[in-house]
Amino acid sequence: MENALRSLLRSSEDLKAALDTEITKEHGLASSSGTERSRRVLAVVAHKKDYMGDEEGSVLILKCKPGSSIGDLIIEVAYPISRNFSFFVAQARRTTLDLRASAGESAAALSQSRSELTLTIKYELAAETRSHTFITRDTQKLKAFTVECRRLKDIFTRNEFDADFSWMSLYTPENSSKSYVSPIDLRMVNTPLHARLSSATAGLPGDDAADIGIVREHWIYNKAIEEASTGSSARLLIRLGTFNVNGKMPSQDLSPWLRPMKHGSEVSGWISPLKPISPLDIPSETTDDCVSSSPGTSSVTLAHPSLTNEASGSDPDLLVLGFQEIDLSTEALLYATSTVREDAWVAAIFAGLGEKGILYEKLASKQLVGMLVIAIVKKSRLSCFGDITLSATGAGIMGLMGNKGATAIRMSYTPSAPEISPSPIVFTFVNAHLAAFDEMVERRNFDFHELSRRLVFYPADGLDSDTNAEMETPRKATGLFESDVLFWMGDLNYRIDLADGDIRELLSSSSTADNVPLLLKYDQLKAAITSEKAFVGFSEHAITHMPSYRYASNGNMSGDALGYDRKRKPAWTDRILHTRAPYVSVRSSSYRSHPKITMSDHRPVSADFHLTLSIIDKTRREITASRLYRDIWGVEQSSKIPKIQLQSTTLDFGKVYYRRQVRRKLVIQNDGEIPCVYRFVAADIRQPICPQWLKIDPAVGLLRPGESLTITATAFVDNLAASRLNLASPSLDCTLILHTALGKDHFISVTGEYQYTCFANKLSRLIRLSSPVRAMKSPDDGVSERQSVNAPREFMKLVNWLMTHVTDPNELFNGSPDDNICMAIRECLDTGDQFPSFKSPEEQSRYATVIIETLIQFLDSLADPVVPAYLHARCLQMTSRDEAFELLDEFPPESVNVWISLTAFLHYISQQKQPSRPVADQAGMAERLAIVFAPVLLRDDTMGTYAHASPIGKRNFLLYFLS
Amino acid sequence: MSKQFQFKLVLLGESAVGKSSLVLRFVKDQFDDYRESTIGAAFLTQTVTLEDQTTVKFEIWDTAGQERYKSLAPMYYRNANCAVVVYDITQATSLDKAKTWIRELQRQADPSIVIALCGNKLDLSARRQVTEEEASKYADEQGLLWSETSAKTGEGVNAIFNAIAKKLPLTAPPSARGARGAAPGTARQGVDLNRQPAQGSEACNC
Repeated sequence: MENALRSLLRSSEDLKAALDTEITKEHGLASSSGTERSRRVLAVVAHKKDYMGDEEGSVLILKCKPGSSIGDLIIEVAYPISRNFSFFVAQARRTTLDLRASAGESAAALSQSRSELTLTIKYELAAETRSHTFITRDTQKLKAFTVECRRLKDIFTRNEFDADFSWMSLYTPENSSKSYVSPIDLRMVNTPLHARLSSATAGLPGDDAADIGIVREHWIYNKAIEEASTGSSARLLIRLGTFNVNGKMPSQDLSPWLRPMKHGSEVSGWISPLKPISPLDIPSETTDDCVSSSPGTSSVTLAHPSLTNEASGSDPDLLVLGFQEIDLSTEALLYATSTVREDAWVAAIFAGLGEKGILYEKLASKQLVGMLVIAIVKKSRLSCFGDITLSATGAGIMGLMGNKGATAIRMSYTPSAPEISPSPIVFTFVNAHLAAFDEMVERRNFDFHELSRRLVFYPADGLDSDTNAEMETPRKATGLFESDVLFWMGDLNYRIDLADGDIRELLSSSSTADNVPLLLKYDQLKAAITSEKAFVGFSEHAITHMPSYRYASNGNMSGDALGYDRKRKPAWTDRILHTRAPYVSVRSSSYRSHPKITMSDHRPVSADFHLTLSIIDKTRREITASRLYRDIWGVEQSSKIPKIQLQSTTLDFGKVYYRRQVRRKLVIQNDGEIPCVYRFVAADIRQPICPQWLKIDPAVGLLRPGESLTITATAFVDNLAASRLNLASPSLDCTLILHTALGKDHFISVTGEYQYTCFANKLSRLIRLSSPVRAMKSPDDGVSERQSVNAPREFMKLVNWLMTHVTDPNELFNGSPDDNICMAIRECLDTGDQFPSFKSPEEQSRYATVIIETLIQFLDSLADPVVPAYLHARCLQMTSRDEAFELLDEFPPESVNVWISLTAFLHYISQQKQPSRPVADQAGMAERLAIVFAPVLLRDDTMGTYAHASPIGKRNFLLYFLS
Repeated sequence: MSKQFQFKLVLLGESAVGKSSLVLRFVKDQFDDYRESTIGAAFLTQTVTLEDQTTVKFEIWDTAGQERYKSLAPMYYRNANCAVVVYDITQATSLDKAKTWIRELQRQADPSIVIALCGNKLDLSARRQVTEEEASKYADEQGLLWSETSAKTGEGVNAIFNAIAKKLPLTAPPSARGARGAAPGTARQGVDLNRQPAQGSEACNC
């Protein structure tokens, strides 16, 4: 018993006495169990106050967890041994004993009945006095118990003014059984820890106590998951679909949208749609890795054996389908009671599932005017899903009407696992319809934030309230982001910020596959995520399908060659995104549209999500969390100084090159007596914690006494960092400051020598250099006043090589370039060394790929584009070759020679005979080169000073020089 | 109940003059013959009680003396209420360095900062290179507190911190930015509201 009690205590508290009892009367204790005998353990605990050395005492009343051994004690109530605390002991009365005996007490106890004593504990509160009476036979321990109570009460009386008892907050029932049933807000979970701490710099540590609290919560949360993880995992396949049906009733087979495809073709045995395969059905079998908009989103899941054969088209465990505009009638805006349309769509879904339909049943649905979300679950998995709650909110007229808005379903998924009860995972599915029209992008962003705030879930909305019998007190509403995984789909209505003609031309060109990524650069949703205006932290699988909006109605002549409505710019309005907690692995695949389903002006879109959920023992997680909480609590109030030992106080990066990663390790150890929180701080509030070219991970952490941790410092000079370092002294020396909360600042000396590069420079600077950049000792070394060369020698070296060695232009784009050779070529440019010679035609071809890639990287890394942004609009106005050539007079002098040399090479190479291709393809080669080089040579202004010029217009300008 | 004040104190001075030893003696009454050189800024606290029962809690930043970390020193003396600039009486150059620090403090630090000049290693006075006269004359000219100490024997250590405590403006609460956020429940410091500020009551008696 004593050991079980001690395991509940922190090191700052001492167990002074323990007593095994049975409770007789209850006043103020919540759970009374009638005539059942009820065991209670009483404990006297003393807390030693740090600065004065005086003790404070508390009496804990504990009960055993139902059906478990003495090892699992739960604190029922804790009273401070203060003025309000009193107790008395009396001889047990015969009657009490008889009652107990009839309840099945053994004869042995009866024989000892004379020695039974009652202990009554009283605690006076302002409004009531609580009193508990216990029976015990252990006179020895009772005596020890009362002696300790008396002693601690005496200490209290002497030091009444210094009494504090804040340490007891750990032993109050709320804290000791802190539960983690509800997930933490995803926006907070995905915010880097250091961004959540108080602002701190050297010598001004900020609010260390509050920071310790934040780091501790984070640490306990993750550590409890780690320790309670069973090591096994559950896998789940979820298929999401979104479809704006434009008020239509189902009239076509929905199977392509609902059923997984086997590498673009129908799985045999499945009913094929009656319609012939549309020419619009571009190949979409690519399952690129998820393009993530938030750092750290991609998880290593590929190693999972079950995931390697997922492409064989296994049936989803859960289908969640979002519809918009299922009802466009005006009445629908006001009354949405009818389920006629929902029933029709559910019937169509099950029809679309074909013979697989019998495996599924509807789990939940929620409709608001035209928006409907339906969850359909595989019957065999039904028992895993529960706690279904629904939500809906309008965002239309006056921000309330339901012509726009969202409906959502939340559910918990509990993996089935033998012997343990696993922690449930909460999924939330939002089906939204945001504001329409090109220019309403701000309104869409606003809608996103409004819906994020207003979509809340009340447990009472649940459909299966019967199965939720053990739901205790009514829980309060939970926010949309309080979920482990949040899926957001719907007609989000984001458009493409390009001219109508450009979009159609890019979509209809022969190289659509190249053009889709270009179009996506102008996608309003991608831009909103990048600029952090909306959907921050959400990921979307790479889009390879054609825009899903807006198609001309069937057989109508108003469509363009691709079938898009001529009055509306095509756009990817229908999207599926997700965001997740770090401990859930989500991999998305098969993100595509379904052009065969033509009943609406939108095409339905679907995506598959492969989830790997580690199975976490719920009980162990809670017990671990409370144990860790007690271990780590109170650090900020200790008089002991946190101490961290650094294995080394220097980090030497040696020579640091452009785009070459260097890693250094720093081992730290907590050699103090109390847990320690560390964080890196900046010297000054205006500075970051480390220079731009350096990353520290983790920048914040917690170590228990004796624990050590390896911090990784990674040097990587990207274009932005290089553009600054090229103009500074080559010494990278600086000092990092590692702050221990409530303790010392450690200094870590960073040393390194930056190696100047010709990349990320300005053309105007490069042409004034009299020697290769690497020969420079300082940024001004060897920079002459006047121009030394016509065009940067590094650039000319690349172009000359290509002119000399490339005979077949197809060699230029022959697979992906080798990183190591790229690095070697960059080094030759910086040092002025000769390029390595090649020994075979294959090697020459490999070099060609590398050199062209290096040339593109060089041009793209320039601090200013070859054609300055202020000239882009002029370039696009040129209507003939002669006009275009005349415009060169207005180019900056350093750009003219680069432009002429490069276009001369591109012209030359596009005229080369391509052994493998017919002559007709030569025009195609010029265009292909223009597609690659135009956006680089006429790079868009990132500062926002100049409007982005049309990508088609840029190509056409470049093509005047190539043909 | 007595008044309690909290002040930020920074130690400056050349490497190896005994800054950390001085703090160790003051805070823990200990001495270590072979201390490693401080790389960083150690943080410690110590409370002194004056004759009138006023207590002064020092939040001490003991900074690295090595030249390479000099650029970080301003981060530690900004917002400091007092500074102890330490030199080694057996090293004449260390007083020059101390004078540099004092000039920097007078130029860059809070104008109300209380500066104490402290000649350490008094136990090695046989090898003295800096005379008492020279140092005290300089301190008088600059309006600094001055004394000699031995962290090894403890001589003069408490005295200099007490002298600083007495010289600090105890009538006004210390700057809030200098004080660290104290954890709830442990903090019992604060100004006694029943007692009028000394200057205020004098003014009333006039």
